[in-house]
Amino acid sequence: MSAVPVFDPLIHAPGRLQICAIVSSVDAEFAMLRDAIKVSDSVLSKHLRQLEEAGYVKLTKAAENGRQRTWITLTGAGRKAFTAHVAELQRLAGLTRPEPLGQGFSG
Amino acid sequence: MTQDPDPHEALASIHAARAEIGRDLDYPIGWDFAYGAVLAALVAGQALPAPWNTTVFIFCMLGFVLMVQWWKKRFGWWVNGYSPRRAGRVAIGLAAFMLVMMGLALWTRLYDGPAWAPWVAGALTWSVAGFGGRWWMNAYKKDLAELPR
Repeated sequence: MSAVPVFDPLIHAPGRLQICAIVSSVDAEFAMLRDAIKVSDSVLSKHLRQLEEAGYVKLTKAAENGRQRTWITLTGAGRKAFTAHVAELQRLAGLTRPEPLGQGFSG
Repeated sequence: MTQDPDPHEALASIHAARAEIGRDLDYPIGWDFAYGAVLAALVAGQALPAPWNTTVFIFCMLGFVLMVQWWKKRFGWWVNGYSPRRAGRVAIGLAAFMLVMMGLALWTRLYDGPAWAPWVAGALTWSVAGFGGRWWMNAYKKDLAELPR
């Protein structure tokens, strides 16, 4: 069943959009997410805090070889919001198809 | 990408982020051997009398947990409840095959079937699960290249 398109400004910010794109498919470790979206630890932490406060992700800390690792999981609410946001992006993209190269305004 | 990406930019960034999961996903062939072995033991173990069938089951689950831990440590991710299209079909096919093989192994224990049945079931499961795991991963990568629905 297709989701009802709903634009979510919290998810739409570039970093958070990419975080949601990844954790919609896998449970991810903090370092993997940081490397995948190419941001600093502090920027990723800020994005995750905002998503966690909205109830979109769940953060779990696990000790591994004496190191604390943080795992990020998308919640049910987060999955619903992200799927709806993607549906809205697809709807909007359908309304504004990019012009093929070489056929735009010139002169 | 801009701070307020247009829909095309946003969709492209989603594609790029999801592609990062499967990028450089180079896991050793030993994973396929181990995965096949765990499932083969799970299937063939059904032919054993109690409590050995339960013991084998527990060890198989333990082996699977250790494999998951190894994967998570190496790659920093593990598949969650998301149900991809192609990979989902492959998983259902593998599960159906395993059930048939379990039935073959149970035939020996419950209905006095031939002694070779669990060995054949285990060997077939080992090879099919080993290849099937790679097949599933390739299907999963293709699913990741598409947008979530």
